[in-house]
Amino acid sequence: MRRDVRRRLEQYASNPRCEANVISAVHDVPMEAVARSLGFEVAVGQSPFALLRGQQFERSIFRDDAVRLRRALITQKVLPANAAGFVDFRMARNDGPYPNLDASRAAFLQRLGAFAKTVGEARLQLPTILAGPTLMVPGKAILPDGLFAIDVLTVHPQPRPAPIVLRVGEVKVYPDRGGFTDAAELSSTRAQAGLYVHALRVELQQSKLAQHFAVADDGFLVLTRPSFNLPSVRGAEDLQHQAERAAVMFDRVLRIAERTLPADSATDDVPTTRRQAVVDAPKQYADGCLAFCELAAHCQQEALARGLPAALGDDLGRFLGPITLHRALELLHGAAPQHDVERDLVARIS
Amino acid sequence: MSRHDVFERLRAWDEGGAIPNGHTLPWLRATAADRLVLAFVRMGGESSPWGIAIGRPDAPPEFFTCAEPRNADLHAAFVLAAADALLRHVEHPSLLPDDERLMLLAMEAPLRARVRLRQLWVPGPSHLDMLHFLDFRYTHANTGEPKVVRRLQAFGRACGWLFRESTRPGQVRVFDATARLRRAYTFPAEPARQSHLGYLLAWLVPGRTRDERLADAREREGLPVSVTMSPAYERAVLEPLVTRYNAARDDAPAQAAVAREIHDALVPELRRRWELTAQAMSILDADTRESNPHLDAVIDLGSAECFHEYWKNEAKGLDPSLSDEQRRYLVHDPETDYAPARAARRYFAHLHAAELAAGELVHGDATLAEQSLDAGNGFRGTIRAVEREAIAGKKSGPILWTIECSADDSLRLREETSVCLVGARKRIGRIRSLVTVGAVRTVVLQMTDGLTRRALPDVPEAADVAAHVGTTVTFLEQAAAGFTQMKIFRVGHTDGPGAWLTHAAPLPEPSPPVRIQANLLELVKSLQ
Ligand code: SF4
Repeated sequence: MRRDVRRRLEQYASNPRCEANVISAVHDVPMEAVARSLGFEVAVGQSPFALLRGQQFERSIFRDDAVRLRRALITQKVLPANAAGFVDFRMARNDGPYPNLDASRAAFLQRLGAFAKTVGEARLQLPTILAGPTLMVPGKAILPDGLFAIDVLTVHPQPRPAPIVLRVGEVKVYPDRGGFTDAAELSSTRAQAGLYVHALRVELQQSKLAQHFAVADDGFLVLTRPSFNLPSVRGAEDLQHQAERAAVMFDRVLRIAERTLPADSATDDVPTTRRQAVVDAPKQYADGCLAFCELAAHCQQEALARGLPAALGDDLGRFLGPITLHRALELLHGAAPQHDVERDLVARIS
Repeated sequence: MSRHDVFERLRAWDEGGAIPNGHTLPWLRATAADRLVLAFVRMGGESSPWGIAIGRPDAPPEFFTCAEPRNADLHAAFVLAAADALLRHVEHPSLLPDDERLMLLAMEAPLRARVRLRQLWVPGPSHLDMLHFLDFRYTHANTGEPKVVRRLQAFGRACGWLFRESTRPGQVRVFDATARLRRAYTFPAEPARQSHLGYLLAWLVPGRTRDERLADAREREGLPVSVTMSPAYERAVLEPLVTRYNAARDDAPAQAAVAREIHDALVPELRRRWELTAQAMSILDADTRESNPHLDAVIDLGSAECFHEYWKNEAKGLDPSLSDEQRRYLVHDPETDYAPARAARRYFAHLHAAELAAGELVHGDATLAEQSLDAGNGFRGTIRAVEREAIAGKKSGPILWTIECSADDSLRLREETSVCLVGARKRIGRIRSLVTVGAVRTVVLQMTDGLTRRALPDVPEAADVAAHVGTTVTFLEQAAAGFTQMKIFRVGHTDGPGAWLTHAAPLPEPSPPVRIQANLLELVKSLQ
C-alpha cells in the first residue's frame, strides 16, 4: 500500500542525513518491508481501541452540522459567535459523501470557485466549516499518491475586494492538558498543520484561485478534553515556521526524487530490487531513529560494532567527533594520542 | 546534557554497566509503611486507567480492573475500589476521626511529621500522567450517590495533588522510578533508550559482561512498561474479550465470567509494571551510597507543601457548614488556576523549591559541587592573604580573603555576588574584585558571615591568618532561595510591579503574532 505523503515527508525530516532513510521516504519503500526482508520482527499497527476512538471522536465533532466543533471554535474565538454553515468533503469510509479523494478534491475546488464569485450579503454568509477537503501535493508524477485530505478548514469571508481567509485545523484524539500536553505530539501536529497550510497555498495557486483566497498564517488544533469525548480547541497556533519548513522539505524531496531507483514505479508492491537499494545505502544512526525507524535496533547494533559514538547518543558523537568508541576507550586507559584530534580529546577527558 | 554526563556515559560503556552518579542519593530511604507502589494500564486511545496495581512494597499488590473502561459507571466503581489505598497514603482527612482531624488542622506540625517521609513510586512518566487524567475525570465528578461522589472527588483531588507535586523541582514524595534510576546512575545507552524501566534495570544486573547486559536490555525493551499495552496484545487478547463482554450485555453471569477473563488478562501486564518499580526501588535502597545529609530543608519544604497545598484545604472542605461555592475555592481545578496571581505564586514556589534543593544538596555531595564548579557557579583556589581592611577612623575593617584560582576555569559570577564556603556553608563572603592576569585569576572576598568560632565551632576564625593562608578552598554561589520565597507572597499584592498583568480585569489582550522576518536587519528596522 502506498503510504501517505505527509508520513513520508516526516520520515524524511526525521533523519535526512541517513541515505537509506531518504531513499525509503522519497521512493516509498517502507522501512517495515525492509526490516521484514532482513528477518527482523516488526511490531506494527495501532491499538484497535485507539483506532476506534479516533474514528468516533472525528465523527462526533462533525455530527449534526459540526455543532460540537462549532461551539468549541466559537468559544476559542476561531469563529465569530454568529458563524454557521457546514460542508462535508469527507470520504464515505469516514462518514462523508464522497467515494474517493479525487471526487472530494473536485467538489472542494468547485465549491471554492463558487465561494470566489459570491458578493454582498451572500459572501458574508458562506459556510464556515469545511470537513475533510482534499488537496493535491505538487510533484505528483514523482511522489505518487499526491492527494491528501485536510482534517478541517474554517472560512472567514470578508467583503470584496478582500480575499476570503481560509484557516487550517488539525484534529487529534490525544488529550489537551494545557501546559502538560505532550510536547512531542503537539510539535508533530503543528508540523502536520503547517504542511497543510503550504499545500493549500500551492493548490490555490495551481487552481488559479489564489487571488480570491488567503490562507491564514495561524491555524487551530482540535484535541480532546481529557476523559471526555468533547473537543478542546487551541486557536491562534502560529504555523508560519511550519509552513516554511514544509516548503523547504517539499523542494528537497522533489530534487532527491529525481534520482530514480531500479524498478521505481507507481505500483503497490515493493520489489526486492528497491528494498535492496535501501539495505545497501549508507546509514547514519542518530538518537531520533528509535522513535520512527523499524531498522533502529539493527542500525544501532551495526553502529556499535563499528564503534561509531553516535550509537550511544548524538551528544557523545559530537563529543568524540571522528574518534571511534574503541579508540576513545584506549585513550581513556592511557594510550598515547596520535594526532591533534586525539590530543584534544585527551585534554578534555583528563 | 553536560560534558560531564557525556563523559560519564563513555565511562559506563567502558565498565559495561551502569555506574553511580554522585556521592549521595538526593532522597531518603523510607520504610515500607511510608511507601506505596502504583502502576496503571490503559485501553489504547483512552485517557484513564483500565487497571490499577497498588500496594506497599513489602506485600503483594492489589489489582483492580474494569471490564469496559468506556462505561462511566463501571469505571467509577472500579476507581472507587482502588481509591482507599491512595487516600490512606496521603492521610486524607475524611479517613480520620473528627477530633483528630481538627487537632491536625489546628496544629500543622503533627500532620507534617506524619507525612514527612511518605513516598509514592510509579514506573515512569506516563503513569504520572495517569494521575493527572484521574484528576480531570474525578475532581468534578457530579453524578451518583453523594457519598460515592464525594469519595471519587477526593480521589481525583489526591491524584491531582500528587501529579502537581511530582512536577515540583527537588521533591521527594512522588518517585518516577525510571527518572530516579537515571538520577542515581549513568547508563551506557543513548538518552532516548533510557526511558524504559526494564531496559535500565538490565544494565544494573551484577556479575555480567557488557554484551550480556546489552542483550538482556534489548530483550526487555520489547515488553512495554508505560501505561499503554502492546497493540498486538490488545488485538489478539483483549479486543475479543471486550467484544464478548459487550455482546453478553443481557446475560449477567456470562458477562461476569468474561469480566474475570479480562481481569486475568490485565493482571500480568499490571504485575510486570508494579514489580519492575518495586525492583528499582530495592536496587536504589541497596545502593551503598548514603542519602544526601543536607536533605532536611528539602523534606521540610515537601511536608509544608503537603499541608498547605493539599491537606489543609481537604480538611477544611469537610466542614459541613460550608456552602458548595465556598468549597469550590478550596479545590484546585485541574484545568485552571482561576487567577494569574495564583499561577504566578506557584511559579515562584517552584523556583524557590529548585533553588533550595540545588543550594542545599550541593553541600552534601562532592559530585554536585564539582558539577556546579564546572558550570561556573563558583571557584576553587588557594588563599594567598587574609587581612583586615584598614578604614580611616575605624578600629577594625572587614576581613578580606585573597584567593588565587586558575584563569582557565569557567566562572559566571561577578563582583558583589555572595558565595559560601563548601564544607562550612555558613561562612559567606561577597566578591569584592575579580582580576585576571595571565593564567591567574585573583578573587578578593569580603567575608560577611560565619566569621567566628561561635558561628562555626569546628572551623578556624575567618581572620586566622596562619590557619587559612596556603589552604585550598572552594566557594559556590550562595543560593538566593529566600529572595524567591519572598516573591511568592509579593506576587499577591495588587500594587507591586507586574500587577497590571496578574490582577488586571479584564486581562490584557495577547500581542498579535508577528510575521517571520528572515532578514535580521529588516526585523530590527521594523522594530524601530
Ligand atoms: S535506523 Fe538506520 S536506516 Fe533508519 S534512519 Fe536510522 S540509520 Fe537510517
